[in-house]
Amino acid sequence: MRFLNPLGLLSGLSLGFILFLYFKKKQVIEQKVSSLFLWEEAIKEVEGVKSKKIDHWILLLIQLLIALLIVFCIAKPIGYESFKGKEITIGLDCSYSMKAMEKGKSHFEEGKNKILKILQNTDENTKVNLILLKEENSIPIERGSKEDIQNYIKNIHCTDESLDLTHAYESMKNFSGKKMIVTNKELPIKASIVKVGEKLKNIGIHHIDYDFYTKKALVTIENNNKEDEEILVSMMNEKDQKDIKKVKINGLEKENISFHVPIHSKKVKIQIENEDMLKEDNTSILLLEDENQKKVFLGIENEFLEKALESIPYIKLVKKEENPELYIVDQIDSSFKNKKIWVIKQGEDLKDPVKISKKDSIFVKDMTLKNIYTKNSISFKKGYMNILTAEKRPLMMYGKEDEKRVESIDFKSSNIVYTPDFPILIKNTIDWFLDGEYLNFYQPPKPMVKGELKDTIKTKNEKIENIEIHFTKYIVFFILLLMVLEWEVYRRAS
Amino acid sequence: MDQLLKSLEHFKIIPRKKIIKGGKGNYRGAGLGNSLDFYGHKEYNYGEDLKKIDWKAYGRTQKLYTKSFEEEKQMDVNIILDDSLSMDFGEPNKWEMAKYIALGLGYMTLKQNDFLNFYTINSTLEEIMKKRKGKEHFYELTQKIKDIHPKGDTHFENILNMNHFSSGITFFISDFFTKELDKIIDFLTIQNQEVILFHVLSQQEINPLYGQELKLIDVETKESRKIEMNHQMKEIYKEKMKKFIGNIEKSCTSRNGRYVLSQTNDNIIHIFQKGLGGI
Repeated sequence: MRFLNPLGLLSGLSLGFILFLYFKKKQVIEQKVSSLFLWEEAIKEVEGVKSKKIDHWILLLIQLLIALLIVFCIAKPIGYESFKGKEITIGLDCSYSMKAMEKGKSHFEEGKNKILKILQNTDENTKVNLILLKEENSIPIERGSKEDIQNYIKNIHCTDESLDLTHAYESMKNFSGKKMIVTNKELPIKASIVKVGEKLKNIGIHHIDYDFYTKKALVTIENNNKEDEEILVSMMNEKDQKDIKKVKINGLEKENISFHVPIHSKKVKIQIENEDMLKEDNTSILLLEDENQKKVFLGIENEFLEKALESIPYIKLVKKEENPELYIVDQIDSSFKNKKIWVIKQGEDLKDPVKISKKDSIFVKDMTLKNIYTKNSISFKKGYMNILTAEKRPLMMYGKEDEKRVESIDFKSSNIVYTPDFPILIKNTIDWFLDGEYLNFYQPPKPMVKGELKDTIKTKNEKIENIEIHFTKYIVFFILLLMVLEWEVYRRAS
Repeated sequence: MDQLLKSLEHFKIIPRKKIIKGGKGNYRGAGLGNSLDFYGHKEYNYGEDLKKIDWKAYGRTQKLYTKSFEEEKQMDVNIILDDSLSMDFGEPNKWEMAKYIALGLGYMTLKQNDFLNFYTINSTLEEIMKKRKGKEHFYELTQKIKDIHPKGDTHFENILNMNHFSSGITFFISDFFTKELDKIIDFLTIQNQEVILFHVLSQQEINPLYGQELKLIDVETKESRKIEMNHQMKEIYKEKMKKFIGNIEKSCTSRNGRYVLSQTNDNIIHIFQKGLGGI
């Protein structure tokens, strides 16, 4: 048996105080009376019942026992079920939320200690599998011995990744025997969970974004606690210009707030000022500096396209000599080998304007395309996939040659350039080219848990049991019983 | 004090029994005398005073009869005040209450021109005033009572040594923590006394509030007893106290006396009403 809060045992000193009070109370107090005449008679009558004296000692004993049990309750004793099976699989949550600090120690360190305790109660011959649960799980030890795990576990560290439930399920279901997950989170998973830490108190930045048009930083704050929280969020740029906002968020809910970013700011730091256990998701940086922007070369004259590209905050238009990551040109030659290219063609004229339709892809995400027409089209190219079409004739398509490539009309002969769909189409296309690299620009925090759970990770005929045995509830029950007993003894003694 | 005396103006001490001993006074005696209260006729005997012959009756009956009248006696009021240490107890203090009762009774006695005999009793019986009559002695009474301070223990049997009680009323003011009270009341009744007991007790005695383990010390004898003052003990004591009060009342009333329980937190006028009303 060990204690989650060993310092709580210090409250055992109060037992001495109870004894002191008892014996102080026991000290005989002198009381003058006018006459002992009647008291003598009363004393004679009472002396017949000697058991009362004993009742007082029983009362003291019960009270001391109750106090002792309360001390144990404060110290939170736990035990570990001994395990004698052939195989045991331990999944250790290595996601960034395990960096949460509680009582001067990270949850990850505590998790490692718990694994060592569990192994102490495990049979020598038991084979142990260790899975490090994160976004991409790893299985460093498979059917290893207790000692292997004990030696290995000392040198592992927590990651900055999220915990992927789907991957956790996939990794653990392949093993037989008892399975358990050591984590600090309430997971929707039917497995033996060895809980680390008491209660993860955390408020985090869920998402940040920058609105290029309004020059505002958009922040989504997530309250991961069950209780409502009043949260202070600050935004500060490199010139120490600071703005603070207070927001009240209900338990387990999210709230959006926005900050007006001062002009010419190169970067802003969004920070949650409230203290919580996990610092990792309390800060996020929004980089607005030119050098963080991705370089794009626009080699054609197209005012609509130029404006749309300029509205994307994480790219900038550069000259061909500046080694751009994406080339938007009307013609290609051998110098474009191994380059990402968007070829814009003038296209062939159609007789009449034809309605544009879209093929489902990330390029047309969030687009409506209502009453959009075109007067020209391009020729289909083998190996390419259509993005936009007009009467089955391609207007825009994508594919891969030596690098990513898109071919499209110049859109000058379409009314799409006058609609909000156009900048969305351009942004989606740029995003596809940059392949998520722009995410570094925002450094948004990751979710603590992602993925979905399809099933429990237990094998057939296996009971899900708690490895950890928390004695507190049994002690509380026993205390209540003793209190009833104490009342009965007190009633008899008084 | 002035307020008390003013309130007592309406009270009067009147004996219920006929006075046997004592000089001529204002109260009915046990025998025949020269008062205006007609008692009856009896046949004339030779040698009797001729003035007593009822000549109207002779005219009607041709026989000689004499008229008899009731005797009128002087009343003595005895006040016995317990000044043992046990009386100096409680909040409000029993002694203070007892002093006021004694003063009130003394004042009424002197005011109605009866003889006042005032005694204090603890381990000894002390005669403070003897055969005082008239209001002018009230100041002397107040001064003497003022000088009395409770001391010593209770020995009521000293009363038994007195053999010259004049016929009248005896007021006995005490907490009566003694086993000899029956003997005392018997003795006073034989002495043709009308006995009125003022039983002075404090709230702390009737309903003690002490808690825990106690060492009780008798203020008179300095004897001590250890007790576990729990609920059971408290209840037994209260039961004993109730029985004790009942026994004293029974002892007194069974001898045609009057009993007044005088708790220190009671209104003193009510105590006088209970003690003197109907006398």
